[in-house]
Amino acid sequence: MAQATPQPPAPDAAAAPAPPPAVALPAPAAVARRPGLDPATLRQTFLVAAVLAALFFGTQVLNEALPAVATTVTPGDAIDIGGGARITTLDGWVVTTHENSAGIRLEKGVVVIDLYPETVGGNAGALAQAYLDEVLKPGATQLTTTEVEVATGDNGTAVRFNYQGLFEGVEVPIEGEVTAVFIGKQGIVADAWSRQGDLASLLGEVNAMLESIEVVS
Amino acid sequence: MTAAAPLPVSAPTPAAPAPAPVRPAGLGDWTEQVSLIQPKQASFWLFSALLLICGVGFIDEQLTFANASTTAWLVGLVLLALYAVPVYLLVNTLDLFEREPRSLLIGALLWGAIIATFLAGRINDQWGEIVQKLFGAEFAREWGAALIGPGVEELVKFLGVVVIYLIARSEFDDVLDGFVYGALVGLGFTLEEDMYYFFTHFVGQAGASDLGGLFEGFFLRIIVGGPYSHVLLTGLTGMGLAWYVTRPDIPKSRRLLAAVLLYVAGVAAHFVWNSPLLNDMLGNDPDAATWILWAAIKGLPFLILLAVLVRVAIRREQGWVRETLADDVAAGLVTPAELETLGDLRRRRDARRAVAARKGIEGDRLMARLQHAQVALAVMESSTAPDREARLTAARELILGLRGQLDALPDLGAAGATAGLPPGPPAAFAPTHRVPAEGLASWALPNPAGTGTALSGGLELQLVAWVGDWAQVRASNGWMGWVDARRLIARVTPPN
Repeated sequence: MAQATPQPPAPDAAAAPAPPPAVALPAPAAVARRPGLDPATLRQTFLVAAVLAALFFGTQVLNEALPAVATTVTPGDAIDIGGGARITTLDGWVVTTHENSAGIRLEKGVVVIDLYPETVGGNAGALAQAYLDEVLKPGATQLTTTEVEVATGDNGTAVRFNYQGLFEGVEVPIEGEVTAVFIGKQGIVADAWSRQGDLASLLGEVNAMLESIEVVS
Repeated sequence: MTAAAPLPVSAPTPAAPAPAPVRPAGLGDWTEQVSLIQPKQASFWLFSALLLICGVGFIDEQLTFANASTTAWLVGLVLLALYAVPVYLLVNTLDLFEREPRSLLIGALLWGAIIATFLAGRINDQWGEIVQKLFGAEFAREWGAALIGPGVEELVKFLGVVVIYLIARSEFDDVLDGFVYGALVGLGFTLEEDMYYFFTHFVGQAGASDLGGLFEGFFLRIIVGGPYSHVLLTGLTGMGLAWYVTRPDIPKSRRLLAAVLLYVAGVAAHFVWNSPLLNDMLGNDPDAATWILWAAIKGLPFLILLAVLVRVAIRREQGWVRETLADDVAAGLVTPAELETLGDLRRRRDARRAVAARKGIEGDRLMARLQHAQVALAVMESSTAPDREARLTAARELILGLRGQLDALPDLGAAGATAGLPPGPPAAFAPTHRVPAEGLASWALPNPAGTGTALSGGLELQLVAWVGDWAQVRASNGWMGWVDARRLIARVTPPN
C-alpha cells in the first residue's frame, strides 16, 4: 500500500457535525484531595513506630534494669590487673579473676578482655610475639593474624595485632585484638576477643580502657 | 462491511462526559503505579525520618571503611554488585505480570541497607548484654547470635515491608509482591552487612588493604552464604504479610495463621543459619566443598520452601491472567497459544524466537511488544481506575495494531530463517477504520480550536489511541492526527 499523503478535503467536510469538545491530553487525574495525612493508615503507622521505639529504647531500659551476673565495676574505678598495673573501666563492664593465672577478665555482653601482667621479653613487641606463640597458637586449630602495629602513647610503647580463628573447645569462630604494652619494667597483655562479628561494636570502649592502663609502684 | 460492525473494543458513547485522565499512546508504563513519595501517608514520613537518622550512621560507617582502605572498600562494592545485580534482576523477573514501581523497590533496598541494619545493630548489642546477664557469657558467645539475630533482625526487616505496604497499599496485589519487597529489603540488609563483615572479619580492624581476605570474605558470605541470605529470610516473611493483606477470599484466621507460619519460617531459617549446630563438620580447615555442603544443609530446605511458594504464587498469577483475559481470547486479541506463553518467560522467549525464525528481527521485536501489550491488557482488566475503559480501549487497539503489523511482515523463507539476522521491513500499516464518505476533519491535537486538515471519504486509517470521543489515527504514509471517533467507520478484520 502506497498512499503518499492524506487526501485533499472533501467538499462537504465543512458541513460535518461539530467535532467533540477539546480534551487535554496531559491532564492529570482529578483526584479529590483532602488536607492532612491519610487516616486509613495512621493507626498502623503509629503501631509500627511504637514497635520500633519499644524495641530500640525498651531493650536499653531492660538491659540497664537487669543486674549483672558478676561484679559490675563502678565506672571510673581503677581495677588491679597485677604487677602494680591498673585499668580504669567504663560503664557496664564486669570483672572476674582468672582461675589459673594472674590477671583479670573484663566482660561486657559477648566481648571479653583478658588482661595479664607479664614481663616476658622485656619489650612490647617480644611480649606480643610470646603471647601469640605460647598462648594463642597452641590453643588454635585455625589462626590468622594481621601484622603487628606499633604505637607510642603517654603510657609507653604498645604493639597490637588482630587475629581470627577456631579454638579447641569453642564452637564458634573467634576474633580478637591483642595489645601488649610495657610501662617501665611491667608488661601487660590485653586480649580483647569475642565471637566473630561482635568485637567491633565495643572496640572503641576496649581501646579507651586500655589507654587508661597505668602502673603504680 | 457495514459501519455498524462492532469492533472488538468498547466504543465511546456519543454523550461521553468529561474526558477521563489520558495516558498517551504507547503504554510504556503499563498500569497506574504508586511512587514511594507519598506525603499524605504517615508511613512515608516515618520512612523518611528513619532514613535520615540512620543514614547519618550509615554514611559514617562507610566513610570509616573507605578511609581505612579505599581500595578494599571499592573492591568490596564491586564484589557486592556481582551479587546484588543478578539477585535484583531475578527477583524482578519473577514478578512477571505487574512490575513494582522502581521507587518502591529502591525504598525497600534502603530500608534493608540503612534503616534495618542501623536499628538491628544497636538492638542486637543490647540483647547481647541481656543474654549474657541472664545466661552467662559462655552461653551468650555460643548461642547469642542464634537467639538474638533472628528475633531482632527479622522483625526490623519485616516492619520495613509493612512500611512499604502502608506507603503504597495498592501495589500489593498478590502474594508474590510480598516476596519482591521482602527480598529487596533482605538484599539491602545483606549488602550492608556483608560490607561490615568484609571489613571487620576479613580485611582487618586496622583497614589493611588485604584483598586476599576480602576475596575470602566474598567466598564465604556471597558464594557460600549468598543463596541463603536475608533475601531468602525476608522473602519468606514478606510473603506472609502479602498473604494476609491480599487474600480477602480466605477467612481472616487462616490468613493470619499463614502469615505467622511464614514469619516463623523466616525466623527459623535465620536461627538455623546462625546457630553453632553442624559447625563440627567444618573441622579445622574446611575446604570449599565442605563450606558449600555445610551451608546447603543449613539453608537449602528453606530455599526450597521459598522456591515452592514463589512457584505457587506465579501459578496463581498465571491463572488470574487466564481468567482475566478470557473475553479477550474470545475476541481474538490473544490467541490460546499466546495465552499459554504469557506466564512463562521461557515460553515467551521461545515464541519470539519462532516468530523471529519466520519473520526476522522485526518480527521478534513486534512479538515482544505484542506480549507486553497483552500482559498490560491483563493488568488493566483488573484496574479500578476511572480511566479504565479508555486505557483498555487503547491497549486493545495497540494489540490489534501490533498484530496487524506482525501479520503484514513477509515470511523470510528458508534462507532468511537460517541466516538469522535479516533486516526486517519497516512496521506495516494495518488499517482499522476508514473515513466516512462525506470526509472528516482532523487536528494535530484533540482540540477543535486549531486549524484542521480535512480527510477525504474512504481514506483508510489505523487507530492508535482512543480518548473520550477522540481517536488518534495514522495514515499509510505515517501521518498522524486526531479525529472525531464517533464518525470513524470500523474496518473489522475477523481475528485469525
